[in-house]
Amino acid sequence: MLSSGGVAVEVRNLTKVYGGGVVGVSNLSFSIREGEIYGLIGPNGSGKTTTLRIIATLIKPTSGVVEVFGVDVVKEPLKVRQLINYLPEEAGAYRDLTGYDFIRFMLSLRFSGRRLEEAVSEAIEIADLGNALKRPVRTYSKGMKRLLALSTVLASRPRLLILDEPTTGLDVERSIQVRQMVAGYSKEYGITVLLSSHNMLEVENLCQRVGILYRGRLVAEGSVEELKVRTGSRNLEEVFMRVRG
Amino acid sequence: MALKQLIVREVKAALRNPAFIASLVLLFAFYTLIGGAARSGISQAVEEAMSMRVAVVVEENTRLVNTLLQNLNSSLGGGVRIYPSVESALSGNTYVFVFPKGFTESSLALGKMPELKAFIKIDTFSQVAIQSRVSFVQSIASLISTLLSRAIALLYNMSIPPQKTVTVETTAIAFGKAMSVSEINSLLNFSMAAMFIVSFIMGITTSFAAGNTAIEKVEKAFEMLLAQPIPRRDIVLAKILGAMIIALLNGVIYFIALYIMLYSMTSPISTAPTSSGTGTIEAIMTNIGWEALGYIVMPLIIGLIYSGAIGVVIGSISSDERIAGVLATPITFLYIGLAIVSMFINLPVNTTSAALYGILVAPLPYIYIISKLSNSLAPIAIGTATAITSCIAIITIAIIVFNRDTVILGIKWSRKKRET
Repeated sequence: MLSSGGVAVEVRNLTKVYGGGVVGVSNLSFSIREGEIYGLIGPNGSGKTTTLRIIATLIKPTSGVVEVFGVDVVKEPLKVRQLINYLPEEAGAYRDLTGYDFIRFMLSLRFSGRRLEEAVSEAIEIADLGNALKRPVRTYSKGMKRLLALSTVLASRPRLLILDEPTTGLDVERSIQVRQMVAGYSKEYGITVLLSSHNMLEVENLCQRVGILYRGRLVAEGSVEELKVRTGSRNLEEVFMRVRG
Repeated sequence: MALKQLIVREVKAALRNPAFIASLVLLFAFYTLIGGAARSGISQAVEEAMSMRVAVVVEENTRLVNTLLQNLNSSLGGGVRIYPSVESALSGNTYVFVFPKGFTESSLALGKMPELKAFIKIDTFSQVAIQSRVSFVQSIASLISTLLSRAIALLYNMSIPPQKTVTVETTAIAFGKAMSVSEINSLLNFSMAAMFIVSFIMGITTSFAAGNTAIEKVEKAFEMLLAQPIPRRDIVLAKILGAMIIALLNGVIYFIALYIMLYSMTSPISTAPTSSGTGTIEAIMTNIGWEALGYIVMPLIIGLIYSGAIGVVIGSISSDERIAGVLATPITFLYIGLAIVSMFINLPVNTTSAALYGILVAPLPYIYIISKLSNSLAPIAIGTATAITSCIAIITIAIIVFNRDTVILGIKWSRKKRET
């Protein structure tokens, strides 16, 4: 077991500059405690996806250090991937596979034997798509695809779950269902969750702490209540409008 | 009006796609380049044929032969050299004509046709050079026919019938091995067909690999896959092997269908095999044997890995299947173009040319045939080693690309945008 002193994610002075000098994030620092649900909020282009992709080992930082349970994402990406699972924004699934085959395929990349069968059963239960699981994914609605993808990441029970805009495009009912599942899994299995969202209400209800990104910089961080008190705001939307200046 | 707008939209979509423009520029530049190279190869082959000396071995020393040789030497600007044997003549010349015993008698007697023997040295990859050498021998035989009638008229004050022409029995000494011209043509046709098959299936593999990798991105499952605890190397290899299997299946079905189509188109009357077809098979079996099958299979396997890896690289740097398709299509033409152009460039057979053809992979069957004919393992070893090294290099590039941001972000073709 990796020892990280109760810290799941440690981001120190993270900067990402894309080709052409476009800055994704600049000098970003924050940490996430083990078992915590942490939300990154901010407008489009604020650097949320960049941050999540770096933590998920998909892209590399220009400078700075990112550690997941004490493991450096640049030096040991494969080790980090054993600890995490990632649901990208608008994550889909292979169109030619049935829902069931997709679940099985994704989980077979992590598990085998009896553990695989257990994980597949768990994912089927989470997705709750009934007979639709026997149909090709190309016949699914956006919400169904989202649930299918989410079921595989939840059933893998990673130590860190990274969710990029997990409820974007979902109707209210599905969104509530997803939030409940994420909260439930985090509580039941001690899974640390890092999520990004535009939906302030979602973050307010789900996250223990929040980081507000604006133009690639972390402009505020704390629990929702702390931020409200600090800025004299009634809700997170107001907090955001005030801290961005 | 609506139709016009729709058409304009379709055309604009293509013209505004930088990958499409890049592919057009690439294709234009490449084919201009290979056109120039082929033209240079053809010119070189023709010049070489015209400027080369003609070596002659005389087996009977008669007035007629001597006069004929003097006239031939004058006509060729002093390019005729006499040698005591075919072996000594071939050591320093490309063309050797032998005036055999009985030539004078055949020339003078009614009802007999004078015959020469000719030897052509084949020491090049270029089909153009080979064909121009064969043509040159025919033109020399034609010149000798003309000079013969003049010599006879001058020496014997008699004329010979116009239909009495000098025939020539030509033997090609291909990389040290003697064979008929039809045999060398059969082997050239075989190597051309093998190169075409290999380059065609390589093109399919690249398209499949590029398309599948790019589609995975469009399906939005790609980032999920890359975040799984599996080495990127395994993902790359799986994509290459998957594309290979699909391309092989596709290629096999395509060629079976093509064969059935051609077979069906054959006239039911001509059920007997044609002499040319039988000749080709005979020539291959005589000069190469069953190894000929390996000369297609080996380059095919290497080519599939090579082209699959290129396809994976293209797919991994493309943001969607449209861009991947636009980039993969010219690559397919490049394989075929490079295979064809190799038949036109008059490269000498040496380590560098064997290595160059190994890098291109598709011309490998040609190198294998030359290795076999010359009883030298060097070309086959160098060509294969270079091809395998190229495969490893491209697979390594694919793995490197899969470990870089480009695999997620794609290559930016359009104006800079802020990333999130």
